[in-house]
Amino acid sequence: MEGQARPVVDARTGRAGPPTAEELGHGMRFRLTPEQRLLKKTTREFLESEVRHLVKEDKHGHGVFPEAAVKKMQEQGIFGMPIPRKYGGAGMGEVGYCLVAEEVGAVDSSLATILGAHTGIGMAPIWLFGNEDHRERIVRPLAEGTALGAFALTEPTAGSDAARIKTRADRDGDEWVLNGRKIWCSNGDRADYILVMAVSDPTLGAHGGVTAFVVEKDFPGFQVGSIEDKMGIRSSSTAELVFQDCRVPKENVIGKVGEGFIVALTALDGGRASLAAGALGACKELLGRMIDFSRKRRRAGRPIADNQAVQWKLAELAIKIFQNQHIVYDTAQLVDRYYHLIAEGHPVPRALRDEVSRKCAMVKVSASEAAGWAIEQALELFGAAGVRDAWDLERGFRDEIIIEIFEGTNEIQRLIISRDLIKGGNFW
Amino acid sequence: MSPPLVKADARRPLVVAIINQVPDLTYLRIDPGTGEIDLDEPDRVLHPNDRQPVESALRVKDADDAQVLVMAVDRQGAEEGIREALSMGADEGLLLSSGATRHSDALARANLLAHTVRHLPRCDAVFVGTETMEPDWSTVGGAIAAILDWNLVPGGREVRLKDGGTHGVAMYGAAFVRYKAAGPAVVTVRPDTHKPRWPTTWGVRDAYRDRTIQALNLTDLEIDGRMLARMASLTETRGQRVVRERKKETETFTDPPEVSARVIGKRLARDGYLGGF
Amino acid sequence: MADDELGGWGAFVQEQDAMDAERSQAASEREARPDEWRNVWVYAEVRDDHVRSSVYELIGKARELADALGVRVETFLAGTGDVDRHAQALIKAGADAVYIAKSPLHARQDPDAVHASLVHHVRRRRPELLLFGQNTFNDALAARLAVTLDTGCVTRVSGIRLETSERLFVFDQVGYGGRLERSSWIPKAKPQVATVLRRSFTRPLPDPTRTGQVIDVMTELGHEDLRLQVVGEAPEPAGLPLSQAPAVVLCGKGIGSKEGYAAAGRLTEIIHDCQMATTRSSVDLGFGPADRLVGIHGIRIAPRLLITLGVSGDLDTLEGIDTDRVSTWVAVDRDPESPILAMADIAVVSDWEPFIDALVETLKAEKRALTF
Ligand SMILES: Cc1cc2nc3c(=O)[nH]c(=O)nc-3n(C[C@H](O)[C@H](O)[C@H](O)COP(=O)(O)OP(=O)(O)OC[C@H]3O[C@@H](n4cnc5c(N)ncnc54)[C@H](O)[C@@H]3O)c2cc1C
Repeated sequence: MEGQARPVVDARTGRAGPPTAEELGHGMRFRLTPEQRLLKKTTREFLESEVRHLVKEDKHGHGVFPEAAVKKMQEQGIFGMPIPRKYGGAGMGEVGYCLVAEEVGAVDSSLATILGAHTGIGMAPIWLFGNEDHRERIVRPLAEGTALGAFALTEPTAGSDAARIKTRADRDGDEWVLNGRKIWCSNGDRADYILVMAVSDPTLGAHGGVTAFVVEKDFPGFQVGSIEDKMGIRSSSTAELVFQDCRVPKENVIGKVGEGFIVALTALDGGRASLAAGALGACKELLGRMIDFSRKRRRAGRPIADNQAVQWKLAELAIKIFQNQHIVYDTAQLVDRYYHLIAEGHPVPRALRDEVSRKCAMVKVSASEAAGWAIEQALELFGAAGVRDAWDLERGFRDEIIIEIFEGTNEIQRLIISRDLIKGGNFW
Repeated sequence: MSPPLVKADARRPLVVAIINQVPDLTYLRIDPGTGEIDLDEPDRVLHPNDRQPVESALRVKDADDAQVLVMAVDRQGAEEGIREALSMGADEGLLLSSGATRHSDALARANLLAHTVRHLPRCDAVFVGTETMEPDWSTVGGAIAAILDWNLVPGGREVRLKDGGTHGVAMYGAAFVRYKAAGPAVVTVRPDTHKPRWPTTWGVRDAYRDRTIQALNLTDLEIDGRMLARMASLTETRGQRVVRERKKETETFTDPPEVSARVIGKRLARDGYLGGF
Repeated sequence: MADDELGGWGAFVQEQDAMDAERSQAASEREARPDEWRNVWVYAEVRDDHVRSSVYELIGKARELADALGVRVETFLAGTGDVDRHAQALIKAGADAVYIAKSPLHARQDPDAVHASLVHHVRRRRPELLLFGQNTFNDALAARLAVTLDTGCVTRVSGIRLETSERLFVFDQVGYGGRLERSSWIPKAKPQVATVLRRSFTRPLPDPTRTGQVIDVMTELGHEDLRLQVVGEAPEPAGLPLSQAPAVVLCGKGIGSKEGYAAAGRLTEIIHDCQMATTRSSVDLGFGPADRLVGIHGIRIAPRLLITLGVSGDLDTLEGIDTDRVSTWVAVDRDPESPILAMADIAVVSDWEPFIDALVETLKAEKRALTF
């Protein structure tokens, strides 16, 4: 286990402040620890002074990967949040990761996507399901920020229905041979390590027939195909990956052969929580800008904030932020518990897994739709100024919409939730 | 003597960075009746200017393998400030409580800090900022130097240790010189000296889980509280007031440009914008 | 010590005082009660062969306080070579006496030498108030001096009031980024030591008819007093970034051309610590450089003095100005309806070019006049 903070008692009062809710006997702990507060503050200050000015969208071709910004963030330790300290990470769990993702999401959705593809779905499952060798050899450089990760599941013929992937993996002595094509792989052309799902036994279907492999960028038979030219998050590159007799040593199998789908789904659960955190960050950023603008913009001799129609927008967004803040971090704590069990090799109760999937699905839908709503409101509020690129709102408009699609569309998330309801009943 | 104050190793150089906790103005509480602010209430943060002495000390750590000890006098939130300094890379923290010091008593705090430095197993240099939000904080460096009878390096930059002394750049009035001096030094560090390093996420975690902050009171330090109280009473302070926002009146000049330029130019000169000559 | 360190000057002081009927009373008061602390001292800091401008501001205030108490304003100057030539300027600004401590060890502002010298002469002459201009060096010096003399010290003072009955000086201090102010005083100990922020007081106009004493004092300094040994010069640290510049000339689209931008640059040569900046539309038109862009996508500035030329004041630009921190804002725009004019302290309805030409001329003249 990680060490514990050593609190210092206030010399004058003999205690650390007014009684907390826990001390009063009715606490529920919706407060950040001092460590988490410092993490959030320093991350915000770092991003504001070192990264925000580097955010620049290239509107031509397939965009430009923000190398300088990513490198700074890697050196800052932002790319290893949930990984334990002993494997090179910050050791601050899913909550710490979400706090950072929220701050990054407030600055730029492309950076949040790069971070998310690397951390939540690329690196975390390798740590969770990998052995000591994987954790030292692959997770450490990813967590320390000297290597970048990615996750490849989606294929031309398998999107929402990911269970239908076709990429094949055939055993050949000490190696596996991969053949097939992955699309929409975030960081795909930049990653040093890519977690690839492939069919190792076509007779068994998704559960039992899919295995997770780490493909390293210089493996023979692996090639980056075309790069997507997207409407939004243009600075995050999305690549097609081509495997043509790509040889992967058996040491690069993550988890058990045939259990790749569990690896993928577990990764996507945590990934959705952090996606939600990024969307929450975007909401907070937008609210800040809307408040500022409505105070400063004067029409008919008064700030437009004097109008109720404007005030309601602000109030509505504040409500959404309040809601999402609580469900995102409550869920992140749940994911922490879930991941801890997996990482330590404990059995995971089915009910916990279902609860995690359901809640991660809910926060992903809730926060991404809040961000989508917020950006529309912001554009309305800013009038013509919003349409100009100076305020980044039109970019935000093209970015936020995508959060509703990836890591499972919001429709699919609703399917996950409702299936659970129909099967398990009213779970409250 | 009482058990050692710090874990620091007396064989390795030790430098001290002193920080001051100041209120985070976002959370200021103002008494609506008097308009005075309640300084005990708000959260305190490591002021950006206080990152300067920490950064200076860390550079000595990088160059001369020194241990860095961060010290603060007990004020609400001081632990948080020390943690932030630890997250930048400092090794250990000391939180001094006196009970007698209040926010205005910079000299009393300087005294407490100086006495603590004297109690350390060793100390090669003390770094302290010249400005935080608090007006009298800039006296602390000069005062500590006087109390300890140590070298004073005003506006120090690039200070390094050598042969039991220090060398680097100091401000002589407004000019910068390279100096060297035997013996330990108190270095005052200006807000624009360095670009302080950011605490990394690893640093934040270690600051809270692997580093220690010791809380010491006057008895631990064998300091006479009456002496501090006397220092504290040298200055008195009344009324922290919020500077009221100035109601802006625009003065419009529609005269021929030469005429308005003459009036405005004289005013700018009178207001001191032409600078120091 | 055989004589006091006034050496032969002691007699001269008496003589001068006797001749000066008006001031004799204060002087005799000073001589008569050696246990008391009397007179207001201003530390006359010399930089690049000039007495710093802030010293004159302090003399102006000191004069006012000293007159209210019926005491003298005295300045203390540590230097070497022909520093005497500064004395007359100090006197004409309001000083009654200028003590000059001359020593090769004062060739630079050596912190130990200045401290030792001040300690020595303050103990001997016992001023009740000792004022320094506020800067890094003087703050440390004043604090060290206060501890040595066992008195208190107040820094970053923006105003001084006199409680006549108590003979106490009450100092207004600003802190917390200019957002809070408070009053402090040193109730029991003397001298009362303070460092004063620049521009807190108005610089007095020189009075050519004023006379006063110039008193050379000995400094008992030896090299052993110097703890720091100078081993070379160090370069000035690189100038402030635009975001911290205390004065900014911000040129908008209305500047008209690249040449216009360059011409406005003349202001930065005459205004202290002043930098050029520009707006988005001016950069787009190629008038101003992109690395000086202020606004939502550029740098955020917070100067004390802001001069805007041909800037209309749209939100994109205003987003980059911390207007709360600006204490003087001069806006020049040809269009009287331009929204920026209503936001500024001083609005000038004019083409910028003739205005700036005239302003530069005025400022040059003012600078000459101030440099005695
Ligand atoms: C920018 C970006 C980055 C991405 N990064 C990655 C990555 O790093 N790794 C990776 O593996 N994938 C990635 N993806 C792929 C992403 O996960 C898929 O796009 C997503 O799962 C949806 O699949 P699809 O695009 O094939 O849509 P489809 O599955 O074709 O869906 C089309 C529409 O039909 C709806 N639909 C489909 N099935 C159902 C159903 N059963 N009930 C109701 N509605 C349904 C969907 O909700 C959607 O509205 C990325 C996508 C984008 C846009």
